[in-house]
Amino acid sequence: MRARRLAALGLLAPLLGAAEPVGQDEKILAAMRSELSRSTTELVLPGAPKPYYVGYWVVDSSERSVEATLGAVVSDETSRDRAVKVEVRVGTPESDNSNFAGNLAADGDFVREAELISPTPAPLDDDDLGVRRALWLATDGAYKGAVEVLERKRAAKRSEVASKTDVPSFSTEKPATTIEHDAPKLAAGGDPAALARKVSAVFRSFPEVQRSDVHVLETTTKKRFVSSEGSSAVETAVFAGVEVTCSGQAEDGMPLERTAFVAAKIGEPIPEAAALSEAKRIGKELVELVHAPLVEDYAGPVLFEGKAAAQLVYELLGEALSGTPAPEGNEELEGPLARKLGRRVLPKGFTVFDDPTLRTWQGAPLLGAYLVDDEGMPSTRAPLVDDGRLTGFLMSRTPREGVLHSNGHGRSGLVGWAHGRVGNLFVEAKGGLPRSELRRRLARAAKDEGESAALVITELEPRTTATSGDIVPGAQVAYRIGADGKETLVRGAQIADLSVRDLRDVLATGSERALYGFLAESQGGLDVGVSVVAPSLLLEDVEVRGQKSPNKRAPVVPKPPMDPAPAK
Amino acid sequence: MPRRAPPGTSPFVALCALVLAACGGSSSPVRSAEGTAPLPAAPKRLDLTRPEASGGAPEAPLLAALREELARNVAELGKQGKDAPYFVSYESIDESTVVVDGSFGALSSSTADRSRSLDVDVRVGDHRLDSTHRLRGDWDATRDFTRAAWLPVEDDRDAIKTVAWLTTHAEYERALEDLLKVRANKQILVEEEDDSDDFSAEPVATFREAPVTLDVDRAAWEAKVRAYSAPFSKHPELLESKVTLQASAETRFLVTSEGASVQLGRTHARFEVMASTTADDGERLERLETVDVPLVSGLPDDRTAFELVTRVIDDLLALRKAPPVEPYAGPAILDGRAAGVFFHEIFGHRAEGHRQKDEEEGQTFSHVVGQRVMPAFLNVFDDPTVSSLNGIPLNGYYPVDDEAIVGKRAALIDRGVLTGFLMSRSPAKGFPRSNGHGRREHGHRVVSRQANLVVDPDQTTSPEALKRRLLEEVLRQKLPYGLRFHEITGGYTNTTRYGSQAFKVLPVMVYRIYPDGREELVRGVDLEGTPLAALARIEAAGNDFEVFNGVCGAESGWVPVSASSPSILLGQIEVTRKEKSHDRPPLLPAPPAAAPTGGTP
Repeated sequence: MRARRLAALGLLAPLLGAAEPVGQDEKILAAMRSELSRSTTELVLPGAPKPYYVGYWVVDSSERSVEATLGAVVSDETSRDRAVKVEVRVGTPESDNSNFAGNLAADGDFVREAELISPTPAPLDDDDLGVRRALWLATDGAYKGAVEVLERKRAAKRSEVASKTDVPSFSTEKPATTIEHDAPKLAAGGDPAALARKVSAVFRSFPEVQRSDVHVLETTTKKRFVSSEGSSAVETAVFAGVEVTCSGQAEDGMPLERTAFVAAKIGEPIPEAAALSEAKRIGKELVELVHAPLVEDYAGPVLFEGKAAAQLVYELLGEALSGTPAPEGNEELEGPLARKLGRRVLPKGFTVFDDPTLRTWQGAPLLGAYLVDDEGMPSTRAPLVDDGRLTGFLMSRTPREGVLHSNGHGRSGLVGWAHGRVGNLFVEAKGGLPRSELRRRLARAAKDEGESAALVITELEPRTTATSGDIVPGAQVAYRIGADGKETLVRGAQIADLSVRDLRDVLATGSERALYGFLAESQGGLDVGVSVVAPSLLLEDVEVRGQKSPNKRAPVVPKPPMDPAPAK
Repeated sequence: MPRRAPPGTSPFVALCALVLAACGGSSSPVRSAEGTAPLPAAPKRLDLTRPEASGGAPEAPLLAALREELARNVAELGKQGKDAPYFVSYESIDESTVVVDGSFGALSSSTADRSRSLDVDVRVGDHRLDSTHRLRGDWDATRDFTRAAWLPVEDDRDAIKTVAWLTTHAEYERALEDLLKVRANKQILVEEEDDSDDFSAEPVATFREAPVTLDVDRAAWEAKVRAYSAPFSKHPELLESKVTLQASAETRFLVTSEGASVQLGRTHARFEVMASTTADDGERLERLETVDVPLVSGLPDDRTAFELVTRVIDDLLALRKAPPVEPYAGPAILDGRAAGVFFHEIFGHRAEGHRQKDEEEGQTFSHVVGQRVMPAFLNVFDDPTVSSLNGIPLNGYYPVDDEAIVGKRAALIDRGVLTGFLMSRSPAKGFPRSNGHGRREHGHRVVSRQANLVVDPDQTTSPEALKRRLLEEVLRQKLPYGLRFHEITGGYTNTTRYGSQAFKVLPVMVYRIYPDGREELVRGVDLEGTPLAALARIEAAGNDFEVFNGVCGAESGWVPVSASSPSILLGQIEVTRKEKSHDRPPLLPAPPAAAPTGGTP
C-alpha cells in the first residue's frame, strides 16, 4: 500500500529437482495447454500471419508484509494473487515483433507493447475455465498488438537507408521440461508482526534517529510455464527477509540514511538475532554519521571494501554484461561492452561468471537463484570474463551478433520482454591481498599521488532499480585514512564519473570476498532478486566530492520524549 | 487502497459512478412551457432523516496522543515569533477495509487492510493572508497535497507522536516557504478581484462518537461472490464480469490548535455488479449496478443480488443489439438518478465556494448571486446532516467536516435564484463563513465539496405526465422521437477558464421514445453541453425522487457523495455519437464451459 523496496513477486531461491507435476498443477497446466492449442491453431486476424510462438505463464503469489516503527505495527497485510502472462510472436524467428521500440517520443509504443506482455489477473480458485478465460483475453490482446508492431517494424526497416547485420529476433532452442519435485516452503510458525515490533523497537534508544522503519516480508511464488515449442516448467520460490532503515540529519541539515537487509535461508525463519544486531549496528552508525565531518574533495586512489566493492561491480558491470541488444531503432542505447567481445575489459587474472543455479554462498542465501528464467529456459552458469577478457554476455533468447543462444538469463520480473540480466554474479581475482595489506597498498598509492590522506568506502547507497544507471550512488559509509593511519568516518561522499573502463585500472584486490544481495524493482514494479560476490577493489583514480546540495534544517521542535520500552 | 485518487488531476473534476435503487412521491400545478397547458400536479414525498447527534464519547488513545503532540508542537513553534504558525491541525483516519471480488463463478481476490493515515495542516501568516493562499499563474499541483504519513495502527503513544512530530516539521517548513512565495506573488501581480480572507474564524467543534470496527464474514462473502458471479458464465458474449463486496469502517480523529476535538465513526458497505462486452462494431459496453448502505447487514439478500446480476446481463445483451445513437437535438427526460448526476456535474461543482475566488476558475456563478439561474419552480440544497432520503441511505452524510466545522444545510438555489455556495473555511466575497463543506481524502488539502445534493422542486408531476409532455414536444418540433436517459454512470466537468466551460456525462441506458409511446434502447450516446444553457431549459420535474450514491474526485481527492433528484424534462439537449474504440472483439470465442482437462479441445 505504500512505497516499499521489498514489495515482491520474487522469483527467488528455488530448490532444484525433477518429478512429475501433480494435482493442482496438472489441472492448471492442462488448462494452459488447452488454450495454447486454440491460440496456435485457430487464432488469426484476416490478412495477418498466425503466431509462430506462444508462451504462457500462470503465476501464483502470496505475501505477508508487515511494517513497523518504534515497536508498533504500521501495516500488516496478507495478499494472494494469481496472474497470467502471455508472450505472442508473429513473423519468423529471423524477424518478429520483439525488440522494437518504434518511435518512443511519438506515441509511447514501448509502454503499450510492454503492457501487452504483462501479467493480468486471473481467478484465485483452481478453476480451469477461469484460467483459460484470462489466457484467452490476454492472448487476443497480445496477438493483435504483435501483428501491429510487426507491421510497424517492417515499415521502419524498409525506410532505413543502410541495412544492418541480420541477427535473428528469437533464438532457436531445444524444448525443455523443468519440473521441481520438492517445492520450497517458508518456515512455519514465524510471527512477522512480532519480529517487526521487536526489531523496530531498537530505535527507541537512538535519540538521533528521526525516522525508522522495519519491513518484514514473506513471499511464496509459483510459476507455471508452457510454450508452443513444447517446453514446460513449474517452479516455486520462497523469500523471507527483513529490511531495516533509519535516518536522521547532521548538524548542517544533511540527510543521512542507513539500511540493513537480512534474508532467511530457504525454509528457515528470519534470524532474529542477526536482524536485531543489524538494527543496532546501523543505529550506531547513523549516530556516528550525524556527528561525522563532511568529506573533503578528493581525487586519487580509493579502496572499495567489502560490500561496497560488490555494489560497485553491480553498478558498473550489471547492465553492461547484458547481451540483449538495444531495441531496433534505438541502437544508440547500446552498452559500453557491446563491442568488446574477446577484448580485455578487466585486469589480467580476473574471472567473472553468473550462476543462478547456486543457492548459497558461504552459507548465505543467494537471491539471484532460479531454476528457469522468464522465457522458460533452464538457468545455466554463464562465463563472462576470463583472465580479464570478455568471453560472453548474459543472454535471453534475443540473440546478438556472435552470440546466438540463450544461457538462461532472460529475466523480466514478469513484466514486458525478458532481458539478459544478472542472477548471481561472481567476480574472482588472482593474487588478492589480506585486508591490512590492501590498506597499506592504498596508503602507499595515495602517498605516490601526493595526497595526505586516502579514502576507503565500505558501503554505497542502496540501489532499488534493476537497471544500473550512469551515476554511481554516493557512499553511505566512508573513512578517511590519515598519513598516520588514523581512520575518520566521513559523510557526504559523492563519486564522480566512474565507468566500466575504470575497472581496467584496478591496482589491487582483496583476498576475501563479500556478498551483496537485493531485490531489484524491475520496470513494472515486480522484483527480481540479484546477488553479487566480489573481492575488495582498489581503484587507482577516483574523484570524490563532498555533497553540497542545499540541506533542509533539522526540526525546530525537539523530538518527543521516548520510553525505551514500547507500549504493551 | 480503494478509491485512491491519481495525483495531479486538478482542473478536471470527475464524478465516479455508482448507483442505487430508488423510490418515489408534489403539490401545486406544474409550470407550463411557453404556449402549452399546465401539467397536472402530483404530490411529492421527500422525507429527510437527520440522526440525533451522538457525540459525547470519551477520547480514544489515538486522539489523546495527537492532542498532546499538537499542543507540544504549537508551544515550541510558538517561540518562533512572527514565523510561528497561527493554525495547526492533525487529522487521522483509522480505516479497516475488506474487499472481495468474484468473476465468472470464481474468486478473483479477497483482501483485508487496516491503516491509519495522518494529515497535518500548518498555516503561517494570519487569517487575512496565509501560506495556503492561491498563487496566481502557479501550476504546482503539489500544493493540493499534504505530506501524508501513516501512523502505527497500534496505540503506542511515543511512536504515534514521533510520526506526528516529523510530519509537522515537514509541513511547517513548507508553510514558511509558501508564505514567502505568496507575499512575492501578491507584490508582483495586480490586485485580486476577490479580496476575501484566507481562513475564516469559526466556533470550535467538540464532537466525539465512539470508534467503529468492521464486522464482515469474509468466508461467507467469498462464497457469495462466487455464486452471484456464476450466471455470467452462461453468456460467452460477456468479456468481463465482477461482483464485489467492499466494506469499511473508518474512525476519523481530528484535533486543531483552536481546541477542536472530533471523533467520527462511519461504516459503509458497497455491493457492485459489473460486466462488459463489445458490440459487433467494436464499441465497448459496460454496465454497473451498485448498492451503498451503512452496514454489511443492510446489503441485498440473495434474491435481490441475483436480480441485479440478471439486470446487468439483460441490459448488456440488449445494448449489444441496440442501434448506435444518431445525432439528436430535442427534448429529453432524465430519470431521477441520471438527473442527480446531471445536477452534480453541471451545477454542484460550480457551486463549490473556493472556485468563486480562484481566478483560474470559470466562475460561472460567482457574479450572479441573487439572480435567477434556473426556472422558478426549482430549489437545490446540499445537506451533509441528512443520513437518508425516503429511507434510502445517503453516501454524503457526516456530522462534522474535515475542518472540524459542524455540517450544515447549504441553500444553493431558492426558487430558481442562486442564494449561496458550498463553503469550507476559505471565504469568498459575500460568504465569510463555512457551512461545513470542507472535505478531503487522506493526503490532500481541504476544499469545499458536495455532500448530499438534493433537487427539490416546488411543483411536481407524475412520470407519466412528464412523458406525455415530452411526446407533445416531439410532435410540435416534428421530431421522430424523444430521448429518455435512464442511467448515467458518472461524468466530469471542467470548471476552469482553460478549455471550454463544458460538462460531459456518461450515459449508459438511453431510450428513444416514439410518439406511439414505444421505447427503444440505443447505445454510444454522448451528452455534452454548457451549464447555464442546460439549466435554463429545465421544463418540469416528476415526483419520483431517486438517489445516486457514489464517490466524487476533485482537488481534495475522492469523497463519498450523493445526488438526489426526481426525473426532469429538458426542453432541448444535444447528443452526439460517442467516439468509439476501433478494437475488434476477441477473435476466438470464449473458452467452452465444458473444458476438457488436458489435451487439445
